[in-house]
Amino acid sequence: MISPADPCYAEVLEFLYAEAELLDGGQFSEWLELLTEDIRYRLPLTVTRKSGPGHSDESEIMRETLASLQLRVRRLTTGFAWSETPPSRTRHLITNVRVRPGERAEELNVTSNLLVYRGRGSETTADLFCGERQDLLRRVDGRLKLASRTILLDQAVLASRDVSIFF
Amino acid sequence: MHTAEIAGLVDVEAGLVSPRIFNDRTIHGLELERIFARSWLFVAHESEIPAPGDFVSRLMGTDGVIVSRGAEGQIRVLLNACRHRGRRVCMQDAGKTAQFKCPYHGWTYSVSGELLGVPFFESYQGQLDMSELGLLPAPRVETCHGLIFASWDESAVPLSEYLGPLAWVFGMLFDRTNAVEVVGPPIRWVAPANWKLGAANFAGDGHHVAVTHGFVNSLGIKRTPRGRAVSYVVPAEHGHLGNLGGWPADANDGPFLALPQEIWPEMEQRLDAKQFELMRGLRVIVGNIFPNLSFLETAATGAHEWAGPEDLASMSFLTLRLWQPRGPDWMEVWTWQLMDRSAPDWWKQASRECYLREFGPGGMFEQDDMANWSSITQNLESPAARRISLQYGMGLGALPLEEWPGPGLAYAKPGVGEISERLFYGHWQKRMLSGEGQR
Repeated sequence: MISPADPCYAEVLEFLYAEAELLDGGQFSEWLELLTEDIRYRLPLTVTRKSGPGHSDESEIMRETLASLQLRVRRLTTGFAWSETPPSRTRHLITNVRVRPGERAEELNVTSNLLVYRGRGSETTADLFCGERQDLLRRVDGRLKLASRTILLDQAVLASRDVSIFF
Repeated sequence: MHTAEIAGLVDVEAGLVSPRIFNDRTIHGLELERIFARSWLFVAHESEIPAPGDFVSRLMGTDGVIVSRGAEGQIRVLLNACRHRGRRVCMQDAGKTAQFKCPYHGWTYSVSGELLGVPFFESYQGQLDMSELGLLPAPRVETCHGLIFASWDESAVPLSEYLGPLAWVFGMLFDRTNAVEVVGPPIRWVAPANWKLGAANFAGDGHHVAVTHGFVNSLGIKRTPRGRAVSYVVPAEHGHLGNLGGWPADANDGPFLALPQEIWPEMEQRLDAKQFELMRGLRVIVGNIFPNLSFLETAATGAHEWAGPEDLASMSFLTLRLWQPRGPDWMEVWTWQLMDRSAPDWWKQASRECYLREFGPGGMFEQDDMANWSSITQNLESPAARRISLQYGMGLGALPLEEWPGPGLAYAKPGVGEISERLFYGHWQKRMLSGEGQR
């Protein structure tokens, strides 16, 4: 594990916070710039089993590539994205950040805890998404980029009517 | 609630529906008794419990049940409640086991539901008949093309009779190859919406697509081919609706629902000639089995925009979904994707990704549906809103078609408008009016 005192750790934190700022600010095109060409963005299904990891290796809620994430972002500009009309207000809270060296020199494995608050319109009830993010960050031309993200949510029955936001 | 009051909720002839049916607590309580406690309900697909000892936890209306395969291969549907004090005996979504043990006092049941052991049995001094105290089994369990249905109504008509002509349609979806099986466990989520809105939409609301899912056209993704196509609406006596949409004759982008060519010979072998020829021209099959099981297989044109290789014109996906009632204004959605085992691996992967990008809580189509149905449910709860009548009157004069290769009857599309929803709500009302003893 890379120590919080290591400059590399601070760089990872800076990346995660900047990313969250873009997501919470609705700057999705800019967010896409932080992703590598070969990004894998997955939201495996949470299951309740007697033993095992609690997430299905056969079923996912989302399995995205850069092209499909770009499509989702383009959709928001069509005037027909009713699930995001009005747009969700999100707040990404990222804590318990753990950084480990990746298999390749330019890569880092980053695990963090995630709590996302989502409010909509004048609704007085909000959605809370809680879970763990398992990220692979890769240094490309001197900048960190997101090469893989697996989101493990802590709900087997998603307590929300949709996942129209990005984690 | 008086009969006259229920009779005033739906007017099939005029195509009018009362907002009350989407959020009224009394109406909802009656639905659970008169519809969910008596209908054939889908509980699982056989491929979810392939081997003895396999089980899944499911809902029949609001009742939690265990669907299990016993040692001898027999499928059973058991109320998930200990016969001693009523505690849940199975807390997992799915698994494999020899027995279920109640965590309270330790009554133990076999995977088939027989009561095997009771601690301090001798203290009952021979007064406890264990043979009578197995987990309460649903008295009727039958399957159709791998789909397992159960009913609490002992006198329910046989499942094949209940499904009527839809069993023939189901053959084209679930029995066209040797193994049509589920992809992983079901994806579940909740929405502040009444369950009927999902069921009626899938029963045949074709004309919401252009606006609700208008982003597709707006982004220039080719979706609905232009030109007149032969399409059918197939109603069934027990409130089910099937819609079979065809490709325009000169724009058939993906025969056989855009299924991969590799499985066409197998389909020809298994299906009857009428089914096979009908499927050649189809691009979508969508509908609802009363009350709450919807099905959809649709070709996605411009497929490469969603997933798969760049030159892929069309592909398809097959899904089942249950709109589970969780109160008058809440539902829990359960969704499965099914796949032909003999389809090529690259196609299966592309179909899965295409499905997830369009449906499920992350699906770009389904999340807009959820927004609509949630808004309707919440919006109609106030007094003035309850005074309006909702309009389901499009295409009131439609007449059945002369030429239809399947069993039962069919109407032609377009031109029949909201007939599917009228038939769904009409049947709902009929069931709500059926009191005790009138099934």
